[in-house]
Amino acid sequence: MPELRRNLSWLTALIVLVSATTLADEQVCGQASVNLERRLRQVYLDVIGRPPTLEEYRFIQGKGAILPEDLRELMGREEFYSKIKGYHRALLRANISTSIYSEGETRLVTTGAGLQPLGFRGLSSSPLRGQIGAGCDAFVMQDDCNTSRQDPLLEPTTKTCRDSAGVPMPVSVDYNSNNYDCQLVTGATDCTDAIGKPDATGRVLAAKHQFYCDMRRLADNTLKPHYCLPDAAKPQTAALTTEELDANGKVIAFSNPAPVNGSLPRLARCTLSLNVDNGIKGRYSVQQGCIQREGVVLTAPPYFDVSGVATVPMCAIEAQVRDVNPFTMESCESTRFRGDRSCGCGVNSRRCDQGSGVLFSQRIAAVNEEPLRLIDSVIRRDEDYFTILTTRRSFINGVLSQMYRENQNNTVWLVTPPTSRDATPNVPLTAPGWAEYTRDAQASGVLTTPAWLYRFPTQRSRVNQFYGAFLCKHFSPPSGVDAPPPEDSCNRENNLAKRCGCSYCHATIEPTGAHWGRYGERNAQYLDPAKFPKIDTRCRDCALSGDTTCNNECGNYVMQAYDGDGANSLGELRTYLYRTADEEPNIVGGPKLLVQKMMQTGDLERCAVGNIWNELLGRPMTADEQTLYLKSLTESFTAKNHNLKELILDILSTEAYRRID
Amino acid sequence: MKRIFLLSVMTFLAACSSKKTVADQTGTLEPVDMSAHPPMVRLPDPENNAGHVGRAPRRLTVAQLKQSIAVTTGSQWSQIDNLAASLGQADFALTVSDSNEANLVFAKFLEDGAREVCLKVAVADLGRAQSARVLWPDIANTEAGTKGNDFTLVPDASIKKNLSTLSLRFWGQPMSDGELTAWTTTFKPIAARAKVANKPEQAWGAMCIAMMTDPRFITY
Repeated sequence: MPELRRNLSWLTALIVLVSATTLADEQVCGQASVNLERRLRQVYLDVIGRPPTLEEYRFIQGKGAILPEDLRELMGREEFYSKIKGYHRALLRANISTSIYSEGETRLVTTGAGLQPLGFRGLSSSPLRGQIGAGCDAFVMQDDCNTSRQDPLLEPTTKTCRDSAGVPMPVSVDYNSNNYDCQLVTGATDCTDAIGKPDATGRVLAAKHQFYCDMRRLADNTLKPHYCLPDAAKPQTAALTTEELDANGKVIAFSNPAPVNGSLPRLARCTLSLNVDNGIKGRYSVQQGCIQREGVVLTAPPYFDVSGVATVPMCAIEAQVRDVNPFTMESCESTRFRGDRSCGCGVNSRRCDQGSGVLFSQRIAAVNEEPLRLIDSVIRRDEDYFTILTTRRSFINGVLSQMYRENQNNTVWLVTPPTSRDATPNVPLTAPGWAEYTRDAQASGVLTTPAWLYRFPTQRSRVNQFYGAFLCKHFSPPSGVDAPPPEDSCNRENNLAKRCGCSYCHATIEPTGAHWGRYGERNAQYLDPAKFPKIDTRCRDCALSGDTTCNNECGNYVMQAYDGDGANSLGELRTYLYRTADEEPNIVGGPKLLVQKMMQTGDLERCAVGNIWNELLGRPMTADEQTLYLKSLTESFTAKNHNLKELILDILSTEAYRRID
Repeated sequence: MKRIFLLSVMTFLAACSSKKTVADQTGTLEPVDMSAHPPMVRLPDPENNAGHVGRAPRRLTVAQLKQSIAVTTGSQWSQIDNLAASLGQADFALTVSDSNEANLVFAKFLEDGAREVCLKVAVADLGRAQSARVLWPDIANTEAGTKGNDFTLVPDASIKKNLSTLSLRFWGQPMSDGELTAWTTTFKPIAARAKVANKPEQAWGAMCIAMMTDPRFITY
């Protein structure tokens, strides 16, 4: 019996021991830690994004455990860096494909006709030639414009190929089918021959309408006479029933005998002459109802042509390289170049883009990739993780290098080059790979990359994303509060940081947004204090005189006042509006200062821990887990110089990661 | 002694019935001295953590699925990139987070993908040496008839060994004995049907499809 008792006591002790061990290591009444192979699969999928191979399973089976050195080895593989890039792509939402606006107005495309010149074919063709999609005359060389005549009856005896400043003039003209009903005159070879003959609808071309005979190209590029009259089927032109005759009894215009406000009063016959807007020399426009085409020139190939040819045919307007209108001195470095006949695409067509859109897509891909390369470099070099928010280092490929260095396609890509031309690596357009370089002093990690600035286009959205991604905080009014009724006078407060109902969030958002105050909204431009001072006296003078546009040069300044603060801020950079003296350093310090402030709170570290926890465990930390893990993980992360790999290793080593819900 | 035994049993039962760790039971008993035992890790109470105590099981992302198919079969589903958005892949412009929902759309498309990939791999395996085979690496040619493709002749032990390898490869979880028996029972009529149809690749191809559409493949 004593022996039985002794044995029973051993058995009892064993039960207690086994029960405790079981609870600790294997099971909390339902939640089990996973077996070795399954855990290996879990680690592989979480760390390098793929399951183990059969050989890798067998290797770990042989070892019997996954050791820290195995995890470290995994985190040295390219697959790990690729996985981490994917994680940060999601964190930064690095895709600007829907954030940048382009309808292809600056794209140079060609057709198979004639000399096959490159030229605009989209909306830009309308102010330059008279119709959306109209190209230049692909059969006439601009500077030999008198060697061929498309419409002898519409053209002068001697055509003017260029004006006094060398701006190309039209070399041929067609009636615009948006206004005219043009029909082929059957059985005629030219317009002289066509008089007295019927067109396809039975209209006989009267001699008095000889100026309305238009030699037009058919699909086979042959010229045939067409009879064009104001289109009676269209409301705008149906009322043009009165014919105006010249001294020879020929019709030179159709007019509306009873024009009403908004209707088209008159359409003159088409010639090669351009209109001059408001009598200002150099501001050309196309005759209404006409398509006035310039010719072709041979010019240097555009920057995206890497075929090595010496010259390419290009429409004479697009082939120009001026920086300003030679008559008005208006700049060609804005979107207005697309409607200014004297501007053109610039040297090597830098202002324009490839017609296929491939280069545009490559630029988007490169901009999306840049912050991920930056982050990859920080993690690869085991640097402090938060360097990704402050470093001046970045990476550039051929597409971005040439865009920054040569100011390419600068009316679509409103991006300030990150550093001077000389300091920007000169990577050929089609060269593979990325080069590391250092951006100017204002750069602050990913927070000033075009990817971030375009993806989050306003100061408020940049703050919101920064808080969400890096501080794990989200803006929402306190629960239980109601917005004041619409008729409440407090709704008329213009400063959102003070407006009732808005101030819960905007009291933080507005001053924090000032950290991006020197970055434009809906673009990626840096408003350099040297070019954009806090107060621009010229803008202020314009504003005070009621000229709120100020020749479109004061878009970043307060030009209208809606309250007392606005009146006191006229002529100030917009970001300074409503900012207090305490908040103005935010504008000067930029995003880098914001990161420095947040580092002192510890929120950045806690959020990074929480984010990686969420990524690895597939759910946020619970309240209990925050008590158990957050402090120790954060302290370890800090002690290990914010090394992301060490943080991942720490979380992979937690009991929570070893178990499955 | 009886008292000690009773208390010990109560400790064991109380631990499970209350779903709490031993560490939470301090002060209720005179515990056995365990000072020599390695320190135990405290775990959160699942009842206070919405049932959580470890990783949340989840469906593979599209990127992980793509890699998993490639690593597991050595082949790729030709439509995975075209269907990525439907399978839940975010573009981070219009859709800002990957969907891990194992919904019917995902299941339907994955079944299509499994059929494509598995039959392609099975056909290729028919022409491969045993060491290079993906779907029946543990079956010698001599075990499958004169042409090496009559899987009705393969002994149960070899079928089980091969299924065990496949389950490790596809799921990271070797089948238990009971499951091996069940799957072997399933395999035999499939192999017979494949033989009758003169499509020997369908025998192990069907097993591959079953494993690729199993929750253990698409979740982790």
